[in-house]
Amino acid sequence: MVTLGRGNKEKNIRAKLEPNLPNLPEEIILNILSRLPLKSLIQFTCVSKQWCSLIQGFAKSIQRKKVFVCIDNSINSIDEEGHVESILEPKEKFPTHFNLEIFGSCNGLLLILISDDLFLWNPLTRCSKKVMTSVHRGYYAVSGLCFDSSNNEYKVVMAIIHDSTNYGGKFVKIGSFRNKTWTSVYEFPYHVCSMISGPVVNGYLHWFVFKESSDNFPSHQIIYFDPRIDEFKEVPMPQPKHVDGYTILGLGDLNGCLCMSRFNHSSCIFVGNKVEVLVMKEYGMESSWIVLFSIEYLPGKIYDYFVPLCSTKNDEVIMKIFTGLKGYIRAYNPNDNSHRDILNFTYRCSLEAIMYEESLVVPPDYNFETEESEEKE
Amino acid sequence: MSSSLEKNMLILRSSDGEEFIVPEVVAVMSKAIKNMVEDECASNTIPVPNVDANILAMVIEFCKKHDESEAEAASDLKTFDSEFVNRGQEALYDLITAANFRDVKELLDALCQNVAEMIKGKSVHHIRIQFLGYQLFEILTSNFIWNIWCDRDFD
Repeated sequence: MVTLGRGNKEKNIRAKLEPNLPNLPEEIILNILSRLPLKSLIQFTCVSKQWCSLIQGFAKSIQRKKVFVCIDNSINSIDEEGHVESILEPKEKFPTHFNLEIFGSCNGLLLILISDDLFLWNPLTRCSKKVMTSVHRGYYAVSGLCFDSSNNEYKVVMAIIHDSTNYGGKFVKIGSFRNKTWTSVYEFPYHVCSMISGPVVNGYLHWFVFKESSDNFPSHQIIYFDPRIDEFKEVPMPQPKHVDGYTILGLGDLNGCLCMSRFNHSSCIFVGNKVEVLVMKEYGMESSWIVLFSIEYLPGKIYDYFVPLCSTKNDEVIMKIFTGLKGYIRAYNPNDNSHRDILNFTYRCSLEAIMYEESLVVPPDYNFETEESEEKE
Repeated sequence: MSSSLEKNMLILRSSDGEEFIVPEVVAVMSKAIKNMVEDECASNTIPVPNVDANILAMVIEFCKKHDESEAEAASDLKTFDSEFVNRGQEALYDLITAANFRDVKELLDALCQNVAEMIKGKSVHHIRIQFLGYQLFEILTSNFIWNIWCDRDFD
Protein backbone atom coordinates (compact mmCIF):
# COMPACT_ATOMS: atom_id res chain seq x y z
CA MET A 1 0.00 0.00 0.00
CA VAL A 2 2.68 2.35 1.07
CA THR A 3 4.79 1.84 -2.04
CA LEU A 4 1.82 2.41 -4.26
CA GLY A 5 0.96 5.56 -2.41
CA ARG A 6 4.46 6.85 -2.69
CA GLY A 7 4.62 6.17 -6.39
CA ASN A 8 1.44 8.10 -7.07
CA LYS A 9 2.52 10.97 -4.97
CA GLU A 10 5.86 11.28 -6.76
CA LYS A 11 4.24 11.11 -10.14
CA ASN A 12 2.00 14.02 -9.28
CA ILE A 13 4.84 16.14 -8.09
CA ARG A 14 6.98 15.22 -11.06
CA ALA A 15 4.33 16.17 -13.54
CA LYS A 16 4.05 19.61 -12.03
CA LEU A 17 7.78 20.18 -11.77
CA GLU A 18 9.03 19.17 -15.20
CA PRO A 19 12.02 21.45 -15.92
CA ASN A 20 11.22 24.12 -18.47
CA LEU A 21 14.86 24.84 -19.28
CA PRO A 22 16.57 21.42 -19.35
CA ASN A 23 20.04 20.72 -20.75
CA LEU A 24 20.99 24.22 -21.74
CA PRO A 25 24.48 24.40 -23.21
CA GLU A 26 27.14 25.80 -20.87
CA GLU A 27 27.64 28.98 -22.87
CA ILE A 28 23.96 29.84 -22.43
CA ILE A 29 24.05 29.20 -18.69
CA LEU A 30 27.15 31.41 -18.52
CA ASN A 31 25.39 34.11 -20.52
CA ILE A 32 22.53 34.01 -18.01
CA LEU A 33 24.82 33.91 -14.98
CA SER A 34 26.81 36.90 -16.18
CA ARG A 35 23.62 38.97 -15.82
CA LEU A 36 22.98 38.04 -12.21
CA PRO A 37 23.98 40.01 -9.13
CA LEU A 38 26.76 38.62 -6.94
CA LYS A 39 24.33 37.63 -4.23
CA SER A 40 22.41 35.30 -6.53
CA LEU A 41 25.65 33.87 -7.89
CA ILE A 42 26.86 32.98 -4.41
CA GLN A 43 23.54 31.32 -3.69
CA PHE A 44 23.46 29.39 -6.96
CA THR A 45 26.89 27.82 -6.45
CA CYS A 46 25.02 25.04 -4.66
CA VAL A 47 22.60 24.26 -7.50
CA SER A 48 24.90 21.60 -8.93
CA LYS A 49 28.56 20.79 -9.47
CA GLN A 50 28.37 22.13 -13.00
CA TRP A 51 26.84 25.42 -11.89
CA CYS A 52 29.37 25.72 -9.11
CA SER A 53 32.36 25.41 -11.44
CA LEU A 54 30.75 27.69 -14.04
CA ILE A 55 30.08 30.37 -11.45
CA GLN A 56 33.53 30.10 -9.95
CA GLY A 57 35.11 30.37 -13.38
CA PHE A 58 33.02 33.41 -14.14
CA ALA A 59 33.75 35.00 -10.78
CA LYS A 60 37.48 34.71 -11.40
CA SER A 61 37.16 37.16 -14.25
CA ILE A 62 35.58 39.83 -12.05
CA GLN A 63 37.78 39.33 -9.00
CA ARG A 64 38.39 42.24 -6.66
CA LYS A 65 41.16 42.51 -4.11
CA LYS A 66 40.52 43.45 -0.53
CA VAL A 67 42.41 43.73 2.69
CA PHE A 68 41.22 41.71 5.64
CA VAL A 69 41.88 43.51 8.92
CA CYS A 70 41.22 42.00 12.28
CA ILE A 71 41.82 43.60 15.64
CA ASP A 72 40.37 42.41 18.93
CA ASN A 73 36.80 41.55 18.16
CA SER A 74 36.22 43.58 15.06
CA ILE A 75 36.82 42.30 11.56
CA ASN A 76 36.85 44.67 8.63
CA SER A 77 37.68 44.73 4.97
CA ILE A 78 39.26 47.56 3.01
CA ASP A 79 38.37 47.74 -0.66
CA GLU A 80 40.30 49.11 -3.61
CA GLU A 81 38.98 52.58 -2.92
CA GLY A 82 40.14 52.54 0.69
CA HIS A 83 36.67 52.19 2.20
CA VAL A 84 36.43 50.23 5.42
CA GLU A 85 33.52 47.87 5.87
CA SER A 86 32.81 45.30 8.52
CA ILE A 87 32.90 41.62 7.58
CA LEU A 88 30.14 39.34 8.74
CA GLU A 89 30.94 36.23 10.68
CA PRO A 90 30.71 32.95 8.77
CA LYS A 91 27.31 31.31 8.62
CA GLU A 92 28.62 28.45 10.70
CA LYS A 93 29.92 30.47 13.62
CA PHE A 94 33.42 30.02 14.94
CA PRO A 95 33.62 28.16 18.26
CA THR A 96 35.17 30.96 20.28
CA HIS A 97 34.44 34.56 19.73
CA PHE A 98 37.28 35.73 17.60
CA ASN A 99 40.65 35.25 18.98
CA LEU A 100 41.84 34.40 15.58
CA GLU A 101 45.19 34.38 13.86
CA ILE A 102 45.60 34.57 10.10
CA PHE A 103 47.70 31.71 8.78
CA GLY A 104 47.35 32.30 5.07
CA SER A 105 45.31 33.58 2.15
CA CYS A 106 44.88 31.99 -1.27
CA ASN A 107 42.21 32.23 -3.99
CA GLY A 108 39.79 34.09 -1.74
CA LEU A 109 40.08 31.62 1.12
CA LEU A 110 41.60 32.62 4.44
CA LEU A 111 43.31 30.10 6.66
CA ILE A 112 42.47 30.98 10.24
CA LEU A 113 43.72 29.53 13.50
CA ILE A 114 41.35 29.46 16.45
CA SER A 115 42.64 27.67 19.53
CA ASP A 116 44.37 24.71 17.88
CA ASP A 117 42.06 24.34 14.94
CA LEU A 118 42.60 25.51 11.39
CA PHE A 119 39.61 26.85 9.48
CA LEU A 120 39.19 27.80 5.85
CA TRP A 121 36.93 30.78 5.45
CA ASN A 122 35.66 32.64 2.44
CA PRO A 123 34.68 36.09 3.79
CA LEU A 124 32.61 36.90 0.70
CA THR A 125 30.38 33.84 0.67
CA ARG A 126 30.59 33.42 4.46
CA CYS A 127 31.32 29.72 4.07
CA SER A 128 33.74 28.28 6.58
CA LYS A 129 34.97 24.80 7.35
CA LYS A 130 37.22 23.34 10.01
CA VAL A 131 39.95 21.61 8.06
CA MET A 132 42.61 20.29 10.41
CA THR A 133 44.11 20.51 13.84
CA SER A 134 47.36 22.38 13.96
CA VAL A 135 50.59 20.77 15.12
CA HIS A 136 52.63 23.74 16.24
CA ARG A 137 51.60 24.06 19.89
CA GLY A 138 54.62 25.10 21.91
CA TYR A 139 56.57 26.19 18.83
CA TYR A 140 57.04 29.33 16.82
CA ALA A 141 55.56 28.91 13.41
CA VAL A 142 55.34 30.74 10.13
CA SER A 143 52.70 29.47 7.82
CA GLY A 144 50.94 29.85 4.53
CA LEU A 145 48.09 28.54 2.42
CA CYS A 146 48.62 27.49 -1.18
CA PHE A 147 46.87 25.64 -3.95
CA ASP A 148 48.43 22.58 -5.53
CA SER A 149 47.11 22.74 -9.08
CA SER A 150 48.47 19.32 -10.07
CA ASN A 151 46.51 17.55 -7.34
CA ASN A 152 43.73 20.11 -7.21
CA GLU A 153 43.94 20.58 -3.46
CA TYR A 154 44.78 23.19 -0.86
CA LYS A 155 47.77 22.76 1.41
CA VAL A 156 49.00 24.42 4.53
CA VAL A 157 52.75 24.88 4.93
CA MET A 158 54.32 25.58 8.31
CA ALA A 159 57.90 26.16 9.29
CA ILE A 160 58.08 25.19 12.92
CA ILE A 161 60.87 26.33 15.16
CA HIS A 162 61.89 25.42 18.64
CA ASP A 163 64.85 26.97 20.41
CA SER A 164 65.99 23.60 21.62
CA THR A 165 67.05 20.99 19.12
CA ASN A 166 65.70 18.34 21.50
CA TYR A 167 62.29 19.26 20.20
CA GLY A 168 63.26 19.00 16.59
CA GLY A 169 64.81 22.43 16.08
CA LYS A 170 63.61 23.67 12.70
CA PHE A 171 61.37 21.63 10.50
CA VAL A 172 58.61 22.06 7.97
CA LYS A 173 55.20 20.44 8.08
CA ILE A 174 52.94 20.25 5.08
CA GLY A 175 49.29 19.57 5.75
CA SER A 176 47.03 18.13 3.08
CA PHE A 177 43.38 19.03 3.57
CA ARG A 178 42.26 16.13 1.46
CA ASN A 179 43.96 13.36 3.42
CA LYS A 180 43.96 15.33 6.69
CA THR A 181 47.56 14.33 7.23
CA TRP A 182 50.77 16.19 8.04
CA THR A 183 54.05 15.29 6.38
CA SER A 184 57.40 16.50 7.70
CA VAL A 185 60.22 17.95 5.67
CA TYR A 186 63.32 18.10 7.83
CA GLU A 187 65.70 19.97 5.62
CA PHE A 188 64.96 23.62 6.06
CA PRO A 189 68.33 25.38 5.92
CA TYR A 190 67.03 28.83 6.82
CA HIS A 191 66.28 30.89 9.88
CA VAL A 192 62.79 32.24 10.07
CA CYS A 193 62.63 35.93 10.84
CA SER A 194 58.96 36.78 10.60
CA MET A 195 55.84 35.10 11.85
CA ILE A 196 53.60 36.70 9.22
CA SER A 197 52.32 34.60 6.40
CA GLY A 198 53.60 35.65 3.00
CA PRO A 199 51.73 36.24 -0.25
CA VAL A 200 50.90 33.70 -2.95
CA VAL A 201 52.20 35.02 -6.27
CA ASN A 202 52.43 33.03 -9.48
CA GLY A 203 51.01 30.01 -7.63
CA TYR A 204 53.93 29.97 -5.16
CA LEU A 205 53.90 30.84 -1.49
CA HIS A 206 56.56 33.35 -0.39
CA TRP A 207 58.37 33.90 2.88
CA PHE A 208 61.43 35.89 3.81
CA VAL A 209 64.15 34.23 5.86
CA PHE A 210 67.74 34.60 7.02
CA LYS A 211 70.29 32.71 5.05
CA GLU A 212 73.73 31.87 6.35
CA SER A 213 76.23 33.32 3.92
CA SER A 214 79.87 32.48 3.43
CA ASP A 215 81.15 35.43 5.47
CA ASN A 216 78.91 34.37 8.35
CA PHE A 217 76.89 37.53 8.03
CA PRO A 218 73.29 36.41 7.65
CA SER A 219 71.48 37.99 4.74
CA HIS A 220 67.82 38.22 4.04
CA GLN A 221 66.44 36.01 1.33
CA ILE A 222 62.98 35.52 -0.18
CA ILE A 223 62.09 31.88 -0.68
CA TYR A 224 59.12 30.32 -2.37
CA PHE A 225 57.31 27.07 -1.85
CA ASP A 226 56.19 25.14 -4.90
CA PRO A 227 53.09 23.19 -3.79
CA ARG A 228 53.28 20.82 -6.76
CA ILE A 229 56.61 19.36 -5.72
CA ASP A 230 56.60 20.34 -2.02
CA GLU A 231 59.93 22.12 -2.24
CA PHE A 232 61.41 25.46 -1.27
CA LYS A 233 63.45 27.49 -3.74
CA GLU A 234 65.04 30.93 -3.67
CA VAL A 235 63.78 34.03 -5.44
CA PRO A 236 66.52 36.09 -7.14
CA MET A 237 67.14 39.17 -5.00
CA PRO A 238 67.87 42.73 -6.07
CA GLN A 239 71.32 44.20 -5.44
CA PRO A 240 71.72 45.88 -2.05
CA LYS A 241 72.25 49.64 -2.04
CA HIS A 242 75.06 49.50 0.48
CA VAL A 243 77.61 46.83 1.20
CA ASP A 244 76.02 46.22 4.58
CA GLY A 245 72.97 44.74 2.93
CA TYR A 246 69.37 45.24 3.86
CA THR A 247 66.62 44.01 6.11
CA ILE A 248 63.31 42.93 4.63
CA LEU A 249 60.32 44.40 6.46
CA GLY A 250 57.52 42.70 4.58
CA LEU A 251 56.36 40.95 1.41
CA GLY A 252 53.25 41.52 -0.61
CA ASP A 253 51.41 41.14 -3.88
CA LEU A 254 50.81 44.32 -5.87
CA ASN A 255 48.73 43.72 -9.00
CA GLY A 256 50.03 40.20 -9.31
CA CYS A 257 53.70 41.14 -8.84
CA LEU A 258 55.78 40.10 -5.86
CA CYS A 259 56.91 43.11 -3.86
CA MET A 260 58.89 43.74 -0.72
CA SER A 261 59.84 46.58 1.54
CA ARG A 262 63.42 46.80 2.71
CA PHE A 263 65.57 48.92 4.93
CA ASN A 264 69.07 49.53 3.63
CA HIS A 265 71.82 49.23 6.20
CA SER A 266 74.45 51.89 6.17
CA SER A 267 77.20 52.45 8.65
CA CYS A 268 77.26 56.13 7.74
CA ILE A 269 74.64 57.90 9.82
CA PHE A 270 74.74 60.99 7.62
CA VAL A 271 73.35 59.17 4.67
CA GLY A 272 69.59 59.68 4.76
CA ASN A 273 68.27 56.22 5.33
CA LYS A 274 65.20 55.12 3.54
CA VAL A 275 62.69 52.36 3.55
CA GLU A 276 62.06 51.28 -0.01
CA VAL A 277 59.21 49.36 -1.57
CA LEU A 278 60.37 47.29 -4.53
CA VAL A 279 58.37 45.38 -7.11
CA MET A 280 59.56 42.45 -9.20
CA LYS A 281 57.92 43.33 -12.51
CA GLU A 282 58.69 40.01 -14.17
CA TYR A 283 58.51 37.03 -11.90
CA GLY A 284 61.88 35.34 -11.39
CA MET A 285 63.92 38.06 -13.15
CA GLU A 286 66.54 39.63 -10.92
CA SER A 287 66.88 42.65 -13.18
CA SER A 288 63.17 43.41 -13.07
CA TRP A 289 63.15 44.57 -9.43
CA ILE A 290 62.33 48.27 -9.42
CA VAL A 291 61.86 50.74 -6.58
CA LEU A 292 58.24 51.81 -6.47
CA PHE A 293 58.64 54.46 -3.78
CA SER A 294 60.67 55.17 -0.69
CA ILE A 295 60.10 56.98 2.57
CA GLU A 296 62.48 58.71 4.95
CA TYR A 297 63.58 56.56 7.81
CA LEU A 298 63.43 58.91 10.75
CA PRO A 299 65.74 58.24 13.68
CA GLY A 300 63.89 56.93 16.68
CA LYS A 301 61.11 55.62 14.53
CA ILE A 302 61.77 51.99 13.96
CA TYR A 303 59.55 50.05 11.67
CA ASP A 304 59.20 46.45 12.75
CA TYR A 305 56.91 45.64 9.88
CA PHE A 306 56.22 47.54 6.73
CA VAL A 307 54.08 45.15 4.75
CA PRO A 308 52.62 45.98 1.33
CA LEU A 309 49.07 44.65 1.26
CA CYS A 310 47.24 45.84 -1.81
CA SER A 311 47.06 48.70 -4.30
CA THR A 312 44.06 50.98 -4.54
CA LYS A 313 42.24 52.26 -7.62
CA ASN A 314 44.27 55.47 -7.67
CA ASP A 315 47.62 53.65 -7.43
CA GLU A 316 48.13 54.10 -3.71
CA VAL A 317 49.73 51.21 -1.85
CA ILE A 318 48.03 50.07 1.34
CA MET A 319 50.60 49.06 3.93
CA LYS A 320 50.50 47.45 7.31
CA ILE A 321 52.94 49.23 9.58
CA PHE A 322 54.11 48.35 13.08
CA THR A 323 56.18 50.94 14.83
CA GLY A 324 56.72 51.02 18.57
CA LEU A 325 53.48 49.93 20.16
CA LYS A 326 51.38 51.37 17.40
CA GLY A 327 49.94 49.76 14.32
CA TYR A 328 48.68 51.47 11.17
CA ILE A 329 46.94 50.59 7.98
CA ARG A 330 48.22 53.39 5.79
CA ALA A 331 47.89 54.24 2.10
CA TYR A 332 50.98 55.63 0.38
CA ASN A 333 50.82 57.51 -2.86
CA PRO A 334 54.04 56.82 -4.82
CA ASN A 335 53.37 59.71 -7.22
CA ASP A 336 53.63 62.54 -4.71
CA ASN A 337 55.01 60.64 -1.69
CA SER A 338 52.00 61.57 0.41
CA HIS A 339 50.20 59.18 2.70
CA ARG A 340 46.95 58.88 4.62
CA ASP A 341 45.93 56.67 7.51
CA ILE A 342 43.03 54.34 6.83
CA LEU A 343 43.06 52.80 10.30
CA ASN A 344 45.33 53.26 13.28
CA PHE A 345 45.61 51.36 16.50
CA THR A 346 47.20 52.32 19.78
CA TYR A 347 48.08 48.76 20.57
CA ARG A 348 49.25 46.79 17.66
CA CYS A 349 49.61 43.42 19.34
CA SER A 350 46.38 41.88 18.11
CA LEU A 351 46.33 43.55 14.71
CA GLU A 352 46.25 41.13 11.80
CA ALA A 353 45.93 42.09 8.15
CA ILE A 354 46.22 40.21 4.89
CA MET A 355 45.19 40.71 1.28
CA TYR A 356 42.56 38.42 -0.21
CA GLU A 357 40.88 38.18 -3.58
CA GLU A 358 37.11 38.05 -3.42
CA SER A 359 36.10 34.76 -4.95
CA LEU A 360 33.36 32.18 -4.85
CA VAL A 361 35.75 29.36 -4.06
CA VAL A 362 34.21 26.98 -1.59
CA PRO A 363 36.28 25.33 1.17
CA PRO A 364 36.89 21.65 0.31
CA ASP A 365 34.25 19.24 1.63
CA TYR A 366 31.96 22.14 2.37
CA ASN A 367 28.54 20.83 3.20
CA PHE A 368 25.87 22.64 1.22
CA GLU A 369 23.04 20.66 2.82
CA THR A 370 23.51 22.31 6.21
CA GLU A 371 23.48 25.66 4.50
CA GLU A 372 20.27 24.88 2.70
CA SER A 373 18.49 23.72 5.78
CA GLU A 374 19.58 26.93 7.49
CA GLU A 375 18.17 28.88 4.60
CA LYS A 376 14.80 27.26 5.10
CA GLU A 377 14.75 28.14 8.75
CA MET B 1 7.34 30.70 -56.28
CA SER B 2 11.04 31.15 -56.26
CA SER B 3 11.00 32.58 -59.78
CA SER B 4 8.83 35.50 -58.69
CA LEU B 5 11.04 36.13 -55.69
CA GLU B 6 12.77 39.47 -55.50
CA LYS B 7 16.50 39.41 -55.58
CA ASN B 8 17.18 40.31 -51.98
CA MET B 9 14.62 37.99 -50.51
CA LEU B 10 15.19 34.53 -49.05
CA ILE B 11 12.86 31.68 -48.23
CA LEU B 12 13.26 30.00 -44.86
CA ARG B 13 11.66 26.63 -44.39
CA SER B 14 10.82 25.53 -40.86
CA SER B 15 11.18 21.96 -39.60
CA ASP B 16 7.46 21.34 -40.18
CA GLY B 17 7.64 22.54 -43.77
CA GLU B 18 6.19 26.02 -43.60
CA GLU B 19 7.94 28.64 -45.72
CA PHE B 20 8.64 32.26 -44.83
CA ILE B 21 9.75 34.90 -47.29
CA VAL B 22 12.20 37.16 -45.54
CA PRO B 23 14.42 40.05 -46.70
CA GLU B 24 18.03 38.91 -46.82
CA VAL B 25 19.14 41.65 -44.40
CA VAL B 26 16.77 40.20 -41.80
CA ALA B 27 17.70 36.58 -42.42
CA VAL B 28 21.42 37.23 -42.10
CA MET B 29 20.98 38.47 -38.54
CA SER B 30 21.36 34.78 -37.91
CA LYS B 31 25.08 34.16 -38.23
CA ALA B 32 24.43 30.58 -39.26
CA ILE B 33 22.30 31.72 -42.20
CA LYS B 34 24.73 34.51 -42.99
CA ASN B 35 27.53 31.99 -43.35
CA MET B 36 25.41 29.85 -45.64
CA VAL B 37 24.57 32.84 -47.84
CA GLU B 38 28.18 34.01 -47.95
CA ASP B 39 29.45 30.58 -48.86
CA GLU B 40 26.81 30.52 -51.59
CA CYS B 41 25.82 27.06 -50.53
CA ALA B 42 22.27 28.23 -50.08
CA SER B 43 19.71 27.89 -52.79
CA ASN B 44 16.71 30.20 -52.65
CA THR B 45 15.14 28.08 -49.97
CA ILE B 46 17.05 27.68 -46.75
CA PRO B 47 15.96 24.84 -44.49
CA VAL B 48 15.91 25.67 -40.80
CA PRO B 49 15.84 22.29 -39.08
CA ASN B 50 14.98 21.95 -35.39
CA VAL B 51 12.90 25.12 -35.47
CA ASP B 52 9.15 24.84 -36.05
CA ALA B 53 6.95 27.40 -37.79
CA ASN B 54 5.65 28.93 -34.58
CA ILE B 55 9.12 29.65 -33.21
CA LEU B 56 10.56 30.64 -36.57
CA ALA B 57 7.83 33.23 -36.95
CA MET B 58 8.73 34.68 -33.59
CA VAL B 59 12.42 34.79 -34.43
CA ILE B 60 11.69 36.49 -37.73
CA GLU B 61 9.44 39.03 -36.03
CA PHE B 62 12.21 39.84 -33.59
CA CYS B 63 14.82 40.20 -36.33
CA LYS B 64 12.55 42.35 -38.47
CA LYS B 65 11.93 44.73 -35.62
CA HIS B 66 15.63 44.99 -34.91
CA ASP B 67 16.42 45.56 -38.57
CA GLU B 68 13.81 48.29 -38.98
CA SER B 69 14.56 50.09 -35.80
CA GLU B 70 18.31 50.35 -36.13
CA ALA B 71 17.93 54.09 -36.26
CA GLU B 72 15.32 54.17 -33.50
CA ALA B 73 16.06 55.02 -29.93
CA ALA B 74 17.78 52.23 -28.05
CA SER B 75 15.32 52.48 -25.18
CA ASP B 76 12.38 51.73 -27.50
CA LEU B 77 14.14 48.64 -28.70
CA LYS B 78 14.80 47.58 -25.14
CA THR B 79 11.11 47.83 -24.29
CA PHE B 80 10.29 45.79 -27.36
CA ASP B 81 12.86 43.18 -26.36
CA SER B 82 11.54 42.75 -22.86
CA GLU B 83 7.95 42.56 -24.08
CA PHE B 84 8.90 40.15 -26.79
CA VAL B 85 10.68 37.70 -24.54
CA ASN B 86 7.95 37.96 -21.94
CA ARG B 87 5.29 37.08 -24.44
CA GLY B 88 7.42 34.17 -25.47
CA GLN B 89 7.43 32.73 -21.94
CA GLU B 90 5.74 29.52 -23.08
CA ALA B 91 8.21 29.01 -25.87
CA LEU B 92 11.22 30.22 -23.88
CA TYR B 93 13.23 27.03 -24.18
CA ASP B 94 12.55 26.60 -27.89
CA LEU B 95 13.41 30.22 -28.53
CA ILE B 96 16.70 29.95 -26.67
CA THR B 97 17.65 26.80 -28.53
CA ALA B 98 16.68 28.35 -31.86
CA ALA B 99 18.58 31.57 -31.14
CA ASN B 100 21.59 29.54 -30.09
CA PHE B 101 21.62 27.15 -33.06
CA ARG B 102 20.94 29.87 -35.60
CA ASP B 103 23.31 32.20 -33.78
CA VAL B 104 21.09 35.28 -33.42
CA LYS B 105 23.07 37.25 -30.87
CA GLU B 106 20.58 40.03 -30.12
CA LEU B 107 17.76 37.58 -29.48
CA LEU B 108 19.92 35.30 -27.37
CA ASP B 109 21.03 38.23 -25.21
CA ALA B 110 17.46 39.41 -24.72
CA LEU B 111 16.35 35.90 -23.77
CA CYS B 112 19.20 35.35 -21.34
CA GLN B 113 18.45 38.72 -19.74
CA ASN B 114 14.87 37.56 -19.33
CA VAL B 115 15.89 34.29 -17.70
CA ALA B 116 18.27 36.16 -15.41
CA GLU B 117 15.43 38.47 -14.29
CA MET B 118 13.26 35.42 -13.79
CA ILE B 119 15.65 33.49 -11.56
CA LYS B 120 17.02 36.44 -9.62
CA GLY B 121 16.09 35.94 -5.98
CA LYS B 122 14.67 32.45 -6.53
CA SER B 123 15.66 29.63 -4.22
CA VAL B 124 18.25 27.01 -5.11
CA HIS B 125 15.51 24.41 -4.99
CA HIS B 126 13.54 26.33 -7.58
CA ILE B 127 16.55 26.62 -9.89
CA ARG B 128 17.25 22.91 -9.64
CA ILE B 129 13.74 22.10 -10.73
CA GLN B 130 13.75 24.64 -13.52
CA PHE B 131 17.13 23.72 -15.01
CA LEU B 132 17.92 20.20 -13.93
CA GLY B 133 14.55 18.60 -13.69
CA TYR B 134 13.45 15.75 -11.57
CA GLN B 135 16.55 13.58 -11.46
CA LEU B 136 17.75 15.83 -8.74
CA PHE B 137 14.25 16.28 -7.52
CA GLU B 138 14.07 12.57 -6.90
CA ILE B 139 16.95 12.84 -4.48
CA LEU B 140 15.15 15.63 -2.74
CA THR B 141 11.96 13.63 -2.48
CA SER B 142 13.78 10.77 -0.91
CA ASN B 143 15.30 13.11 1.62
CA PHE B 144 12.60 15.59 2.44
CA ILE B 145 9.16 14.93 1.13
CA TRP B 146 9.31 11.19 1.55
CA ASN B 147 10.28 11.67 5.19
CA ILE B 148 7.55 14.18 5.80
CA TRP B 149 5.08 11.93 4.12
CA CYS B 150 6.23 8.96 6.18
CA ASP B 151 5.91 10.94 9.35
CA ARG B 152 2.40 11.83 8.46
CA ASP B 153 1.57 8.20 7.75
CA PHE B 154 2.68 6.98 11.12
CA ASP B 155 0.94 9.69 13.09
